[in-house]
Amino acid sequence: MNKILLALSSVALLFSVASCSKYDSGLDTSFPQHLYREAKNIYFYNSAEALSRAVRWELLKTVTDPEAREYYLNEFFPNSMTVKEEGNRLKFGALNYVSNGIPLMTPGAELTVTNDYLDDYFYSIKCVSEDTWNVSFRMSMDVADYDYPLYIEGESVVKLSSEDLNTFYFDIVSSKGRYMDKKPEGDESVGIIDVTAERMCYLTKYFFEQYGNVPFGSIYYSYSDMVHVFHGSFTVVCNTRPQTSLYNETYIFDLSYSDLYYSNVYFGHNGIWGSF
Amino acid sequence: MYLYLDYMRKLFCFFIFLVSFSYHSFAQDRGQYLKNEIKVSYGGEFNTGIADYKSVKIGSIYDYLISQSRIPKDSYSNGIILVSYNRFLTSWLSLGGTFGYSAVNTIFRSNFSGNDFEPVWTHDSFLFMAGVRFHYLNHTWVRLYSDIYSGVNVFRNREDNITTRRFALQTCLFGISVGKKVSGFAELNAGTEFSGGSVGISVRF
Repeated sequence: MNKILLALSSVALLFSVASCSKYDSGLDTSFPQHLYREAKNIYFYNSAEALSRAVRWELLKTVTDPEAREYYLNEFFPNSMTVKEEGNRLKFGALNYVSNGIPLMTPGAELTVTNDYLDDYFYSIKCVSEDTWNVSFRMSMDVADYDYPLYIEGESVVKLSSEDLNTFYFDIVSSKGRYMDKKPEGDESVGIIDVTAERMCYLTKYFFEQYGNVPFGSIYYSYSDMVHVFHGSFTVVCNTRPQTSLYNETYIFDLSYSDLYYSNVYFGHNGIWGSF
Repeated sequence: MYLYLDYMRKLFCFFIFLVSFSYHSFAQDRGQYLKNEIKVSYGGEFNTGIADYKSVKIGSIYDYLISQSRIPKDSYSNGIILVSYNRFLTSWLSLGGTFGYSAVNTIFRSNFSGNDFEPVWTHDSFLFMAGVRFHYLNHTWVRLYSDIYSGVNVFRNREDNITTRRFALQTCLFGISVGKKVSGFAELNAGTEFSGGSVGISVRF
């Protein structure tokens, strides 16, 4: 009888012990990370790449040592990229520039850019000082992660931050624009991401092979993190059309703790801050 | 891998232990015992880990944003209902089949507001297993036993009717049954499907 009582009490004890604690994930960083990478690779890349190529070419002209020039030519414009200048026409890979004849780094210079692969592509550059440009852009393109193309538009003030060819990067003095679904007629469900770069948002580029003849909108680059942003901050505001449960969801990305070589992003949403 | 082997080693030792006890009971077997038993039980901390929510297709920014309004954050079950039939080969050894059902609820959270929504009944779980049970104490009113069952657990996502399966291995580490033809029982369970305790009623005939 004692054994039975002992067995019963053991079962009662184990019943109480064998409970499972519920899982709580805490702050979810996956969505802010997605927004951060998307804004970086879709919006900022396309807002600065055309200007960046032209500026690289201008800086290359200042290099007189043939050996160094050859080195930077390969660094800035990989072998697969066509680089050609004829009069006021420039061609870097898929991008075709037409200038008003004034050198790019001289105030008053204006260039418009077309893309060999994208019909719906507009990009204009206006030099406002010897190291600062106003750019405006509108373009549509396919990206790897979505079935529908994206429409991207915006305006930026971009400043060349360093003339050292080895640490070549820009300041995004200001930028305001958006990227959104471009859906066929009749499909009204559209996601819209408005992007605003506040204070200063720096941007640098790595000159990977894919920057060559691969057109903007190629599936090869969309989320491959070929752009790096650091210092300053930017904000994205998410909306859907028609408005459903989503209205002006705002995320702030503080890049103060990121630098040229290291990424440490703090994000804020509804007063809650996290990092990744 | 090492943990798996360790687990299997312990299971094997436990099996040997049961057989030893059963042999002792077998020595007392006089050939007079009821050969069939039906059990109904409820309990267990059901393992909902397999719940699959990845059927949402992300085709656009719109889809992605909307999907963030409803992120599965936790799933739970209020337990599992089991129905078993056992055929006794001897008074201490029986073969049996078990069917189990569990409803799985999911708590969704909005990535935008951070708020949890009310739990939603998202999955059904159907458990099919077969195995053996050993009685190592067979008194007239009280029986002590253990069992081991294996089979398959089928999950059905109620929202898109997609099913997934997983291998199931369950043991009753310790069970006690009190009564004659109609008995009440309590078990301590462990395995891939549910753990903790279960209680129920059995009928022997």
